Amino acid sequence: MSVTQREIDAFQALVEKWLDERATAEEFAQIERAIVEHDELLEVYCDLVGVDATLSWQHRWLPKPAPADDGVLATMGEDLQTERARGGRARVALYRYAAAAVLLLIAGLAVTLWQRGGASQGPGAPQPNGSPEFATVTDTRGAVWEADAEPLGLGATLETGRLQLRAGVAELLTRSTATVSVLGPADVQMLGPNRCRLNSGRLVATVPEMAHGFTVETPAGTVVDLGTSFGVTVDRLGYTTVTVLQGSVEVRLADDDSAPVRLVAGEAARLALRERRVLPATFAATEYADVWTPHDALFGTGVGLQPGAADPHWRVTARSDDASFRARPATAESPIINVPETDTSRWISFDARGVVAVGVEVTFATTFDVAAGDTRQRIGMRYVVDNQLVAVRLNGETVPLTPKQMQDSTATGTLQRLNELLVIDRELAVGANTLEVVVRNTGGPQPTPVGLRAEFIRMQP
Amino acid sequence: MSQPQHYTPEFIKALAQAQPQVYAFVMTLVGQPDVAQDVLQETNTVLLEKAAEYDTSRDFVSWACGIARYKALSHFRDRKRDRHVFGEAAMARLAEAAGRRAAQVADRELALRRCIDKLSDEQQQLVVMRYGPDGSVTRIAAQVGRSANAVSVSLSKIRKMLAECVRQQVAPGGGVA
Repeated sequence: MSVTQREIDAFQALVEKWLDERATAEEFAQIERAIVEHDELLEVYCDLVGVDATLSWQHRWLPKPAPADDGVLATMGEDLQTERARGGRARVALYRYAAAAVLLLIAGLAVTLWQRGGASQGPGAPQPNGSPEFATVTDTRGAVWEADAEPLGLGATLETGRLQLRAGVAELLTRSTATVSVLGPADVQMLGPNRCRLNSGRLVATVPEMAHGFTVETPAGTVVDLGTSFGVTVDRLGYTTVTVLQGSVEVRLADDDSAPVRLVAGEAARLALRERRVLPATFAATEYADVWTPHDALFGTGVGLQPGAADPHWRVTARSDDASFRARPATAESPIINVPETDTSRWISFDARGVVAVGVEVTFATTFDVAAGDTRQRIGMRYVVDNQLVAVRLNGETVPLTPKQMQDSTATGTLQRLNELLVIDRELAVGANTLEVVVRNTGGPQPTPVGLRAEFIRMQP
Repeated sequence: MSQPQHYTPEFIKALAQAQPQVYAFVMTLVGQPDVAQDVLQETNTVLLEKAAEYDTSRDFVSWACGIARYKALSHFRDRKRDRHVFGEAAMARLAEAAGRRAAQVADRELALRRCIDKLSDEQQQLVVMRYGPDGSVTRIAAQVGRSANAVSVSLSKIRKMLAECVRQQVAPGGGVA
């Protein structure tokens, strides 16, 4: 029996109410009857809920993209290649998300099973009487283990004990869901579900909100996550260098009762035990290039330039209060706000600090080349704007921004640091691609400077 | 060093690939993202417990959806939640539909991306706000300075537009037009 358009409309309204948790018991019963009795309404129901499911899956449940994810996913490289060939970008995206989600799941699963006590005894189930496992190996890339160390494959779980890597990369997912990329040669020990010790070598930790407080001990002190991605290096002399790639951390010298030192994205510090001090260090994200790769074609703003110098890669193409505005090179600026200089970006503006009236929007643009066969890549943008990010466009297409990404930097205090990673996940064009970043001045009643600082990493597709 | 515990790579891959399909199926049963996520996790726990029983010749998604179906029922039963739950007949119909659509999940996602691009900036912003964490209609209304009812109407319109757009793009046999 076919249904009329009016019936379809009425049914859609009911489903909408159900999805918004406003349906009464009687209305729910009507939905149930409809999907049992009418094929067409069953399809309408699945279409509507399917949209809801896809959007909530994408926006709410997927782990935030992070550089460490890419390595994890590389384990399944063959499948990605196959999927690309078969189904294109959507399949790749789904697979990537799902892989990341399931790895998180596996990391957390051990706890669930133990808590249950009566869990099955299959090969995947931890032993109820065993000691807790603190991390799962989720990827290895070119890993060479020390001769007397036990080689660990994908899915291997770690309790305490040392992970001794002579070369390559091993990625762990802790039980607290932090991702730890260990770059050989390195010697790492898990101390608990949310704590590890780096005896020597390098690691990058990417810590989601639920693993807040993840701690890395080193011979010189401790690094405590405050919601972040950070790199830690312990050199041969035992010096510890901490580099904050995203968010912020607190560092503290060993056996030191003084207040911890807080570091934010773009900052680096050395824990000098002998001097009993936390010293500033050069921010060098490239130290962790194995898992945190600066983009090779998309240049950070103002890289290597002196204040006032024209940026060869960035230009200012429009301002909203001047229809006759002509594009011109952006210029490197002295810090508009005190975000530390790095080797990967500095502030840019235009026309002597880009002083414009409140509400004026200025468009910064850069063009970069992409080779054939390299168009499926994700770009991670770390940025800070003076004052508000209004839009990001890639080849004229708007990149969706979250409300948080569009918050006024001045109002939220985020003007003082580089923001969280903004991931641009769009198909690129072969040849020239243009990225535009639109910034609004929200300063006081008098005209004030407008500026942009951005740097880019290349993420796996 | 502890004794390593292993899931086979094949099992991990199958589980990873099935996540969006199983989530989509659970959403059709429960209608709420938070609940769907809980049920998905409970389903995954069972799947991992039964990893040793996984027969690679069986369709993983069907197996997973079968478990998810019972997990959805037990989720509400165990929590004594005052939430509407479909009966067996409706569950069977939905499972059947999910099975038909399982192979199209990636195509639908691609189509949905294209459809979202067709929305206005304001509509896209609403989508981001609604489906992100804490995306309640009331909260959005407060953020954008509109009434909750007005936001609800806008979201309803957007959802219908997207559903229709996806339907037009996804061919019945798979693929995106």
